[in-house]
Amino acid sequence: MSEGLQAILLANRATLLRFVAARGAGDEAEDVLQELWIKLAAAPAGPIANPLSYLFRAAENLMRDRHRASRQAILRDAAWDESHSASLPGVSDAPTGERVLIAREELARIEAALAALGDRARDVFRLHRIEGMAQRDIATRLGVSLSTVESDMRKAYRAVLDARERPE
Amino acid sequence: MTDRGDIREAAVGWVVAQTDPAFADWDGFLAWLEADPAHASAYEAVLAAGDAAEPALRAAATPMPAPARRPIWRRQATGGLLAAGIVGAIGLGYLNLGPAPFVIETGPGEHRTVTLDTATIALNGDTRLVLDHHNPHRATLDRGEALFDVTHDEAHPFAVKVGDDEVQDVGTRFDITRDPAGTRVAVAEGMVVYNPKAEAVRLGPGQTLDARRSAGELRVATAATSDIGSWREDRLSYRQAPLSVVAADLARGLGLPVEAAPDVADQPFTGVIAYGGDRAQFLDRLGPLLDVGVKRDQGRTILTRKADARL
Repeated sequence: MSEGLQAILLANRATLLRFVAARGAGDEAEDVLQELWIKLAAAPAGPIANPLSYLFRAAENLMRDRHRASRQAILRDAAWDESHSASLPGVSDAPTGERVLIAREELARIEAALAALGDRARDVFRLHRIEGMAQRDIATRLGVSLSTVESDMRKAYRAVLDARERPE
Repeated sequence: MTDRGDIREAAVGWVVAQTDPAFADWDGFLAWLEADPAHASAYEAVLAAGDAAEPALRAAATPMPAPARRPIWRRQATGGLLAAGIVGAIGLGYLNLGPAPFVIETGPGEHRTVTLDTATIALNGDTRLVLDHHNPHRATLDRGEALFDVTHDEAHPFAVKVGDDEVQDVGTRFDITRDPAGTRVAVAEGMVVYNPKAEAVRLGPGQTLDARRSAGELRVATAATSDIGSWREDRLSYRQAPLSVVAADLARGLGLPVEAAPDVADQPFTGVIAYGGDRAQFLDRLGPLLDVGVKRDQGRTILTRKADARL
């Protein structure tokens, strides 16, 4: 039981509430903090170097999960609507028709943007996104400096943002 | 007034800065978020872009090792996960080749993630999975539990063989457990068909199927989709689950022999268990949490009926 972390959450409740609200929790900000509280209650005790930073990180992760889930729910709903207008009822929730086309076009644009990045930046981005490696480990693995890894990551995020924002 | 490009650049900067596990400027980040509501949506757009890039990045991963060789696994420094770049091209040529099976096995308490071009498979502890170099659309779960994240392909559905049964994806994300008690399937996203050539039970998001060897019947129930596969975050959620199932999950995830004695094996449990960290402390909390007694016997932990020692 992590009473220590829970005490720090209580002491910083107002700030963390502001944080999850600013991250888009809206009316559910209290619920998110409650979820965080429950997670802490169940978390194993152990030394944590910077407990407040740990709490922010945990809150940030909860908000990322929430946003991701709502993005996927929107996609699912779209797929559901389309599967209902399809000729075979209830057979598949695979997106159909126009949506598939849009999704494919976007995927192709993202692929092209990543290909244009060059091998090193693409490798950095893959090790970060797919293999979940920390910047420092990526730098070691590829034999480049930390600032190179950071600048490659920025480049990769910009390229994907461009590909999604500006259909060509 | 900050212009849109600057906001986007700052958002990218915050996302990249947070990839450092030691990132600590949360006050600065909060101040930036609160300065303008456009900041939060720009930041979220960067995270969404990262997610959207993943299928393309998976496709561009390192090539599959030659079938004759043992696959070489590389242990990741963070998280203890194993990431393997066994990705190859799907081509018609593949279908003419004979099977080239290879085994991926985890010890109790060990997690691994395998990336194929057709699916990403997260293996829980004490799990044995057989894949085929020549057929990236099939997997066999011999033992344990795995979460499948499948790229749906109408022409080549991904199928998982579990004992004599088969689970075929019509969608994306599902979890399968096989242990001596039977087979359990839980769908987080999309849809799967259980035994397409026999019972053909369709399971949608949030549906679970329990095929018990002893009962000889299939039970379909519901679960929160966010709980499916949550063992990867060392969190287990249950709704009216028998303690025998809870004990088997803990043994797999913790790597400690936890068993449910016959007198509590069918006792239902509803709640969330988070594990990890200090195992002795965790086991001490287990009794009160599950409302059972805990006995230690030659290194094994046995859940039993609560002893009324004070009477």
